[in-house]
Amino acid sequence: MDKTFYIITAIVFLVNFSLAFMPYFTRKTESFGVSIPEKVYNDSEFRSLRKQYATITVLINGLIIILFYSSISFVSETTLMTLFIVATILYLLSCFLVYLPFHYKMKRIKVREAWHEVHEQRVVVDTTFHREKTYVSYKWYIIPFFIVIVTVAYTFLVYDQIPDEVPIHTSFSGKVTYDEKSIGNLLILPFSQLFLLGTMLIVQYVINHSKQQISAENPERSKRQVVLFRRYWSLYLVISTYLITFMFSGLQLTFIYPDLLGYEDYVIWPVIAFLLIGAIVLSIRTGQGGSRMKIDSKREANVMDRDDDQYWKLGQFYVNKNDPSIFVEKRFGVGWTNNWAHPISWILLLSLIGLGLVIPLLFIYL
Amino acid sequence: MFIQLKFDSEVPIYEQIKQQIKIGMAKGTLQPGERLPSVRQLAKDIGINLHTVNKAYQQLRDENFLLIHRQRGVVIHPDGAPKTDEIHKETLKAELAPIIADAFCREMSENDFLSVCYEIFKEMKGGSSDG
Repeated sequence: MDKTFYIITAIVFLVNFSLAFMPYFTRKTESFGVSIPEKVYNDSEFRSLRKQYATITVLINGLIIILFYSSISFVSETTLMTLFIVATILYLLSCFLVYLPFHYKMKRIKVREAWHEVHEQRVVVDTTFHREKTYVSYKWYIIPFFIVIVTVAYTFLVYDQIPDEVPIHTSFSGKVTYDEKSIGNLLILPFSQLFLLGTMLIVQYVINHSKQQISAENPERSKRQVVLFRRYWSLYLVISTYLITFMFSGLQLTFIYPDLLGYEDYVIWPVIAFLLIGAIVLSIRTGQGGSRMKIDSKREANVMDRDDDQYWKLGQFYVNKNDPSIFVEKRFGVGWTNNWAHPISWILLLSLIGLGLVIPLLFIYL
Repeated sequence: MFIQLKFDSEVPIYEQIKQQIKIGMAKGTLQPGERLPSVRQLAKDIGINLHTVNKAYQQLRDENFLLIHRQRGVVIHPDGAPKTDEIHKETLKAELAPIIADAFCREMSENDFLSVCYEIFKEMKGGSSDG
């Protein structure tokens, strides 16, 4: 096995560890998908639940890592590739399965404590929220789009000078294989760039337009946290878009100038490292909805957010017919999810999956 | 301004939206001509049906507290709230009667009742920023 293989798998397995600490990244008004008053978040009962979850999932991930690497010498490279994907899916699935009993335990605690009966349930919205500069302008995405156009234009300008064989496939072991030069082959990267650019634009739209979600217990602070949260993640998104676009254009250059081949490692790894470390660091710094950012302000006693747990199936899937929102903050995680009672959520999901399937097929037959 | 809605209250949500906007205007946290979120935006942020928000906005418009433009959206009436007149005084009297009756039955004195009124008036003039 080649070093590329070890780097890729090690990165993925290490990133998986961060999922174990999800209960620490959520809003402090939630615990395992159940709404709680913010003031009880640090009670020892909930602290120990979070610790238990983290311990179990870390152990499972460790076990998967040991099993995976010890199987390397027994199986072929292609089997190993499949095994790697299976291991990753298995881990995500086990995280969810571990989550479930914690979720049900929280539901029982909620009944026992009857928080929503002793607190006044409120929804707070700020009439000026959407006038705040919570995000970066869509204009920033014009430049990456322009880079894609330039990449395509340049490729076909020098088409005749491009070697007859282009290094299209990089196997899992890092071995480069060549394919005959064709218009289709040379368009794979630009199309991937466009697909990613489109995805990033959708995510930016989600950040800009998702429900404002200000905590009733402390609206002043919560609002500032949410605004900062959106700003930081918008910035991360724009930087990521630029890096990925440049990276793909750089790869395209290795098709045109074979002498550059081998240097792409110096670009790909730093970019991947930035994307992953950036996301983890940002999650730790901000927390969901900015909940981990320290901002001083007074807290209202005996008020909590409206109890909307009934709309959160298994504490993670939001299904609310009465809510016209399409995008809402995730309950258990950092980022956004859909209101699955809204038809547009399903149209969006299916078209993304469809595009992801259609684009590769297109190139097989082109 | 923060609009605070109590979901376990008996006062319907559209009524609460109306009340909160009026309080905002009284305290000055909502200025004449200031833009409010669109019906859709506010419904999304609260997580309720569009009709509920629409009802509140329509009624406030009918009472001349808001203007609803096709292009500029929903704004607080640039001239501020309509001034009090004989008709308003009649409505006010009718609305206050059951409230005063309730206080009267509880043997609340006229002075005590009035001092509560003064307090609320002071709050409005003070323009407390917590909305």
